Amino acid sequence: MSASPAAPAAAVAPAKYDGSTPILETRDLKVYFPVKRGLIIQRTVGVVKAVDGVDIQIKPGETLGLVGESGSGKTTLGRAILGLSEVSGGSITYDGEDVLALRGREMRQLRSKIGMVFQDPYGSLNPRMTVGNIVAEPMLVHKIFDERSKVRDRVMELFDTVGLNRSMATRYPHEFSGGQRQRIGIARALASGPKLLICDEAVSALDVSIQAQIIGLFDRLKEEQNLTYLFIAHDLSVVRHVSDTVAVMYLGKVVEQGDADAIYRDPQHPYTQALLSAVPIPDPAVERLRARVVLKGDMPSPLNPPKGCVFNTRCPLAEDRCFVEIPLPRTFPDGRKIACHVVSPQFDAGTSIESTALAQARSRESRGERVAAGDGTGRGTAFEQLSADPASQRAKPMITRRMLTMIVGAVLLGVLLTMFLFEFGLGARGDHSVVPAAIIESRIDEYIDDFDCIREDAVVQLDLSNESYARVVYLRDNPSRPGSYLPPRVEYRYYYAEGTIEAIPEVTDFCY
Amino acid sequence: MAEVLLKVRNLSTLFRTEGGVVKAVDNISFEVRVGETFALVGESGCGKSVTALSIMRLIPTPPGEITSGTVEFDGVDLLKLPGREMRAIRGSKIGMIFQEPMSSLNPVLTIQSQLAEPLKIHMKLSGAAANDRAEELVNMVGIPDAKTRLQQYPHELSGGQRQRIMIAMAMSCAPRLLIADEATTALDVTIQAQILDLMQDVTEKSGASLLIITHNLGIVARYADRVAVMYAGKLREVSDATDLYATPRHPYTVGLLRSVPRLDSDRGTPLTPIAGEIPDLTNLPDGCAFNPRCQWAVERCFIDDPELEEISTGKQVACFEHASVALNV
Repeated sequence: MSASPAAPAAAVAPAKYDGSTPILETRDLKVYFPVKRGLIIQRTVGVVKAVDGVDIQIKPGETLGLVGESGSGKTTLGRAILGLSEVSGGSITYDGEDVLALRGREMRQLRSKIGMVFQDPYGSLNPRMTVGNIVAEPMLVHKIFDERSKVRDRVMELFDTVGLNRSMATRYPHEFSGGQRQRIGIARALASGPKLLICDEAVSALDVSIQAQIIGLFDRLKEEQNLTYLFIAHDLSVVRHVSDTVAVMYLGKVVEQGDADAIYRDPQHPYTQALLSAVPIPDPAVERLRARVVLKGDMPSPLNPPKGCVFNTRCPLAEDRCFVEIPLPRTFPDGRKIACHVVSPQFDAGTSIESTALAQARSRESRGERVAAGDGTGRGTAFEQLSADPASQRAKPMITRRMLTMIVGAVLLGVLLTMFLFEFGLGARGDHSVVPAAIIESRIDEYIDDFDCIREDAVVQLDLSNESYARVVYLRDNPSRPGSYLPPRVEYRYYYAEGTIEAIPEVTDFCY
Repeated sequence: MAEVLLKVRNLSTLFRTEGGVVKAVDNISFEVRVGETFALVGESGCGKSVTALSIMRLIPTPPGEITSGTVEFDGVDLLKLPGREMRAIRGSKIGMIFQEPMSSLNPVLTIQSQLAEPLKIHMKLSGAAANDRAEELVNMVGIPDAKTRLQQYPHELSGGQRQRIMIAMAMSCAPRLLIADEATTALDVTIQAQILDLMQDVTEKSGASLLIITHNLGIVARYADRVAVMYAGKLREVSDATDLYATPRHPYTVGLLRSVPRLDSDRGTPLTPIAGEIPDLTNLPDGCAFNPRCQWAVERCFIDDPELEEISTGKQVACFEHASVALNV
């Protein structure tokens, strides 16, 4: 019980994959498109770096979620792996083979081992072929079977696999709905028996109720056929659902990649933070408590990318050197790779809690910034600093997720009971417009440790300026400007009730 | 309860197509209160956009036709107004923003002339005054370097900026209602957040109501005060936003909420899709249109079509079995 929730994951991850080499790996992959002008004599006037030095790895049986906004280069990367876009530099290795060295028959053979599912189920199926023939085509092209009857049997099997009725094989694509067409597309991608499936926005065009069906199908295929996925999508919630690891792209570069849980729980690159915070969560109780980072402006033109870090035009943390030096991906203690000058190199996770806590306590003391306890005089000033002596707090044993759930459950049960008692006149009903600050602080203090998403170095501030609730914000130091803080990442509101505050009224262990 | 700004009663709109008559909007009633954000949510083809177009009387006739109902805006039935008076309301009292800003902006006119046009027509401003106001509006929607931007054409702006211009245009005559029909669907998430925040901000400041039409339950959760869930041309559940997510009472709402992947759920949390497909609007099943996909359906659901009824304060559901849904969720 002395490890942080993030630490076991970091410790387990490498062990799990020991000995299994990546099925797909790109190194410093570059796809540049020349921009040409002129009618007869075409001059190259510029170059669009659609993919610019990308390293990704997918282990067998894993799903890599590739996310980014339009124009970030994620689709081009997928196409480059299949040999559909010309590569300008770097390497692609699939199952130990150098993909870029393959030509002709070998290249075609490789393509039989990689399936691709496209976004547009309408545009990617030939309207003049029956869907049975569409699914059979890859097997005929790759000459997988000698006899046609075997092909037909395999088509029927594939129809079963993706949940289509066998009798539909003689129909044409226009007779199917969007969800069914996507199933046909998946059956075709599976026809040549690939180990890797590249899904490019494969569920983006579908309605939510159908989308969930297709995601379920991908999940099932992964389990049954031990498939590996490169899942390209702009919808971060979908990617969250399917991915083991995630790579976030911006303007041709991967800015952050690593374990999906770690990234979604605690995004480090400022772009990842903004991207995640822009996605609304379909639950007002959670959504309305989130503190958000809203980015200014648009993604710059890829024809004319900014000097230094590509994100510097929109980055809330950009420093001088971000405008000069291109940040290289650095590997962090939890195995994540982040390309940012500003992200602090010791953002915990891998190191032991005790040492981190001590180091932080020391650094805080050395800055003479011991956070004072609230003075208990009530709610005068907004943003009084609440006791958050890191050494005393973080020396306590950390709590695992399961325990956390149990504690939160127990506390909620307690709250319900208390409310029940109050409801039946057993408690004191009265004016609760004034709640002594000391009570609030003591109650809030109890819960600070209960949330594993609150970072070790968080500074806790209490805001009593509102009439109906106490607002607790967890801030963290701005590494580029000592003494100042980054925008609040976690915020809880404790509504006043019956002379005290509700214990944890709207609990969210979501981290920003 | 706040005053009602828009009151839709028994509105029906149908389209006569070669495949048969499509009841795109079938006898729906709802209201939008002053200053609130109301969301109309549903999957493609459920009739949410046709509802908005019917309110604005922008249904192409033929093949479309509003066959019954009233749309009271500020006490006046819009469906009975003469064309000239309706034109005076569009753009001045009700603003509308569509999904694709490029097709709503005129490519051969500068931003300035397009922004100034409604000001000259509806507000009767002079040319110079309208241009000044246009600059103010561009500043209001957060586009830097307004003077240069005003002289540019739509293709010179990015998608997000075009949508900002649309907001500026829709808000230019201080409308009391802003209708946003999938206004951010085509935009990237970070831009989507900017635009929705802006829309909420400008309507809040001017006290206008906002009618958001979307398929995205996350957007509803973030911005809406009240929600109506639409399926196959009918409203199935109308509720406070918080309530809808906490205590969904229509099987379709329950199904939708269980199908959406969530950013904050754990990896591998199974989704529960709604079985089956969205029905063909020309060939709806008897009884409740949701019955082929509904796990709660009883015999009656295949015979009668439930009407929207109020089951608790502020919560209306069109389902015979809402009580058993409540027990099972």
